[in-house]
Amino acid sequence: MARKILRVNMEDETLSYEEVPEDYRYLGGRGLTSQIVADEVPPNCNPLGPNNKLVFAPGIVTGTSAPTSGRISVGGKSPLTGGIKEANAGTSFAQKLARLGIKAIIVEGKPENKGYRCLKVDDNEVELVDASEWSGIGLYEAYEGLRGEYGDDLGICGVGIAAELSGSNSGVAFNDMEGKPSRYAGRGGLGAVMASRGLKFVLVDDSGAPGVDIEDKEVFDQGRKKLSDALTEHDVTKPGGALNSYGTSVLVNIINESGALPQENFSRGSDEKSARVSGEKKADLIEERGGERPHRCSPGCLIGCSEVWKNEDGEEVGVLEYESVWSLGPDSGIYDLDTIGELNWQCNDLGLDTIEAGNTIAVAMDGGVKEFGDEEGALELMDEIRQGTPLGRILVNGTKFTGEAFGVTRIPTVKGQAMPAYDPRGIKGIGTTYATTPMGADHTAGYAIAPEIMGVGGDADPLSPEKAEMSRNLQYSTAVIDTTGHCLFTAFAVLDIPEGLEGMVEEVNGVLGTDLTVDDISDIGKSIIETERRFNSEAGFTKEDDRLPEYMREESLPPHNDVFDVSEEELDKVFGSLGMGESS
Amino acid sequence: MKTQIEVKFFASFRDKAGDSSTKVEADTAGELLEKITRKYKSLDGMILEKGGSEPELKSGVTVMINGRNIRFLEGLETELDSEASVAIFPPIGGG
Repeated sequence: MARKILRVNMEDETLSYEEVPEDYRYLGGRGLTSQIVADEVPPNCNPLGPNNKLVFAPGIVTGTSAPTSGRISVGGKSPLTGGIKEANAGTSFAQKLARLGIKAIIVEGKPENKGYRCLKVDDNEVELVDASEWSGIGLYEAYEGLRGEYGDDLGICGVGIAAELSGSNSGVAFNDMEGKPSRYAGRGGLGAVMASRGLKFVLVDDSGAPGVDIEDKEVFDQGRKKLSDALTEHDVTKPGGALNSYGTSVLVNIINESGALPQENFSRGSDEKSARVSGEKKADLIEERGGERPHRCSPGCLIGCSEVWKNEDGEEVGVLEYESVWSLGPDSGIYDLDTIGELNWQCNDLGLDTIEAGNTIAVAMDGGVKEFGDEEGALELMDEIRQGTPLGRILVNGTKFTGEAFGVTRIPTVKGQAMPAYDPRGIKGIGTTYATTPMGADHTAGYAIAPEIMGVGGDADPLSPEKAEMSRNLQYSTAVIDTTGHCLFTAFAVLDIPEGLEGMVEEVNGVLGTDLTVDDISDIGKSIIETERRFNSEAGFTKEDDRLPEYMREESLPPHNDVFDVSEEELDKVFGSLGMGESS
Repeated sequence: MKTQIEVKFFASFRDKAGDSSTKVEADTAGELLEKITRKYKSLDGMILEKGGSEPELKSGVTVMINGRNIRFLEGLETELDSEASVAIFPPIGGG
């Protein structure tokens, strides 16, 4: 069955299926969302106005038996950065959508009334139903209510109170394996884009769905086996390996020891108290309190980096990821996993991106709103958002907005988006990625931590300032992984095991009937990023936007007391004039 | 007299050693790691590759001295002073 695109016009509530244009046939995930946004969204539009669109696209192999491939990309123009945005999440929602034969959902138009709608999609019909009753209600309660009303085995996507407040820090929440709202396409404020179209939820039921067509099953199976073998062989991704045993928070100690785990709004790079929130500590507590590890974000994942974390009272809080533990913890001077767990739950319930939310709390503390380390105070800030107070309306717009509101000069953002859990003064390749990715500060856009800290995909000295080529290559390959629908963590295995990478390409060939090779990856990635950079250029971005905040070149970071000294020439070498209107 | 160096273990190395830290007398990183693998039999073969004429650090294993990876210092020849604090990690990933 040919795949199709579902177009949802929220202004007149027309719903239509369209054939997939030839240009989109070989795209999926990020490659497809970015291409549709570039084709259909005026780059200079107001992100919350009628001309922006929100695009959902499962990856090329998502919905098949390809391992660790349950990713969905969400794209649009970001209200946080003002540029193009793609954020992705691992969730069964992605697989269900793909199995229904839906290559993308395009949500467009802006209704005049203030109510909210729920889009229901199944194998027989698609309809919009009223969802206004869930306005102002937390997502945990809403997801439980939706499952009660429509069935447990649903893919659910939704936006929370933060999005209803038009917050530039509002994510798009997807269901986890328990049906709870803990899997986020969090970055860039796409939740507000969805809410501004009057869309509150999308429900996907894949009962009786035809599944994903595979053009060449033999090639696909061969690729699937190669990639599965690589994932179960590599020390980082294998059963009993680092991710499977300790989750993503296993990074807390190594980044802290490296002197690059930002503390108290990026004022220091390590603190011995960080060990209290490490993956090792969390693993001990899970064993002591109960919970679950390993755990998966979506069916068919061979890595299993997730967990079910329980609080002191034995109540399930959900997964605490490395980025969330850091942003809601050490970056705010908080070193208590239970407080972090509560803050994380609040973010999921309100519909906030945890990286942006933690940075926002940290700059608010730096600006004197609360003291660093004030655990109750941090929770009170969450309540300000829930109540929609004037302070809450500042906080919900993210780190840059909040920092400027309170006169903070140390604001760790690029293109308006807050930095993840690696200080670029201590790890300069990731800083090069933060500066140059079209997405705003985003570690997942080109994960230089792999060669700089982990020795995966080669070895690179984190303090060396010559990182243009490495960042470029990582960004190209990442754009392709995000297009296939594989989790970025598959990169740990395929960067070191060539057969794994071959397998990933063969899976794609099997699904699409193409004859791509590993050598094509760089050109495909380059093409995706060129499209994204062209959009940003037309939205007004220049190379001056590919920079880190000034203070990171001037204020040294203890304990290594280094500054970010990657030259502007080196940053400009990452992409040259790619997508900026001149030949590259 | 050789220097007493504090050594910290992380992730699966901590579990296998049954200790989160120890102290070892050594002048270089290589000597320290040799002594560690003799002291903790459960770590033997997990940190150093001993197949060739000279031992090498195993792929994916990270050894830091005061926060600097020895791969970007002098490797196993990196000298230790009394201020040195050593951290040893198995292959790790995340994000």
